[in-house]
Amino acid sequence: MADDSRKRSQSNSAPIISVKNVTKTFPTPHGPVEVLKGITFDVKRGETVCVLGGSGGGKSTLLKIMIGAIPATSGEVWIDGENIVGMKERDLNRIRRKFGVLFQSGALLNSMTVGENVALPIEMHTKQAPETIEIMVKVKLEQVGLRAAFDLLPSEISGGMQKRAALARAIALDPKIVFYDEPSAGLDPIATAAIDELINDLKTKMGMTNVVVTHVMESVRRIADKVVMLDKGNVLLYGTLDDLLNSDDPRVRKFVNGEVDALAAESEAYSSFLQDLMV
Amino acid sequence: MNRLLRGLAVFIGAFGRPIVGGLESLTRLTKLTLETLYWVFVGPFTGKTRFRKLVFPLMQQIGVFSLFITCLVAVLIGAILVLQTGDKFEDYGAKNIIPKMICIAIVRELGPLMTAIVLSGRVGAAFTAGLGSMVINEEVLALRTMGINPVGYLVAPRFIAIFIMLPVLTMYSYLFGNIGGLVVGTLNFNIPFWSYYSTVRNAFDMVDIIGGLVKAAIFGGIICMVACHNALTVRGGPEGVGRNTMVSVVMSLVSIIVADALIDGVLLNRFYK
Repeated sequence: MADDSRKRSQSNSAPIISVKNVTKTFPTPHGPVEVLKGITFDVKRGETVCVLGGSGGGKSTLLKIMIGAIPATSGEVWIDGENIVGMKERDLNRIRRKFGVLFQSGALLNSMTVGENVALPIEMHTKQAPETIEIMVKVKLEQVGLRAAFDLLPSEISGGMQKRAALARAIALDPKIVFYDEPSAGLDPIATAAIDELINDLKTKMGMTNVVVTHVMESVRRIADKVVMLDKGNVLLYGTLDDLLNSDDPRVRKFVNGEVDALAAESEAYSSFLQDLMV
Repeated sequence: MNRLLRGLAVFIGAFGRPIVGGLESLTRLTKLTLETLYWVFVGPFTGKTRFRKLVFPLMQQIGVFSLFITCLVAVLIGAILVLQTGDKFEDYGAKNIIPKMICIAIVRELGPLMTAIVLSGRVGAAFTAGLGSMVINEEVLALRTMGINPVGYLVAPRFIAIFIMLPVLTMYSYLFGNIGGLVVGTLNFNIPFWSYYSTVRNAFDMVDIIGGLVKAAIFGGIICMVACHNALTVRGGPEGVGRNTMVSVVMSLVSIIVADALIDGVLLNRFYK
């Protein structure tokens, strides 16, 4: 009994995601530009890890590498025991069933109703009867408080509701991990708090692991167990929420305190420099 | 000397870059076409397609909603052909050839070509704009992260729908093109209705009809592939969607005419009587 408990505890403490020395270089007409410079961190099962940083820090690039949307130039990304870097698309699709993604824009298919959007991954990956799928979809929508939006088109609901519908779609197949790309972008503080509450619910009630790319400190305070702070493609800080809040690093302090600061300004300048190079 | 070499390098670069870009684009288009054919022919056996659910609404969108404009263009083309050529045939005392000549022109060439031109503007542009918007809204990326292949889910159903519907619309253009010719022929050139009708009936040749329909199906494939390729390579937000839609329409028009010349010159010319 004690052994079982120890094993469970070990498996819970083992990382479900391991990012090891990941680099990403984009070719430009003016030569290669290194956007990520050896990123390393772990995410344990059932944790919420927030990836922070100013614009141009490499957060979105890192997220795209972690979900297999773009390949890393070097390094490894282990998801549930498998390295997805260099993996074939067919194998990647198998891994992708283990995670859901909430995109910044929601990315609901606009030609389909909310119900059809949530049903899509279930239809494509399971052989459930349509009646069963409908029940599953209603349960997922209920979970995010959107049961009434079943027959509505994405254009007929608010931005916050679209995000929640997209979250219902992301968790439709009960994945182990959910990735969030700026979940509070474009939302008012109340809608942001509602999304944060949902993220916490998924962790506590369903044991899901959350990886949240964000730059909203209020959200970080509400949801983060650990934080990874990126700056110009490097990890500036990797630790607990307390480590972030008590950091002595002036760049971290300014970010935490929301000051119009060197970090943001520098990152903004770096971002526009990269954009200029890539055009 | 150095200045001359530098000038030469700039000159070669100016020509080389578009050629390399064009070849890269052609390679991507070929890859996309092969992947689409895989999803059309092999995909249904993998059980990972929902063609029945996706193809019929697209066929309706392409076929039913393009029917009126296709028929209108066909009637007018048939009528204009008779108006433009009728008096010359009359001068040579060859008025009776008009129905046959119009019929052959419409069945072999103008029916498939004009229908394809109408659809490249109406449907090809809609494909590029629609899928391009999905690309910039991250909907295509969302499909990929759900383990759904965007080519199988978005491109293959469009390919099947237009591959079927363009020949169907071409058959309507055969009918309405000849009706246009018949109206002008009987009213303007006093060709008796039954005489015009029976000449056209005898002029219909199975090789011409099948050749025209095969061309139409190929044009449909070209419109779909060019449109979807331009959609999936959209960059730069809404402005990029507009730019790629314009490029898509121009590219598909040119490709259709080149393909038409090749198919006629290399293949169908041998079968025409």
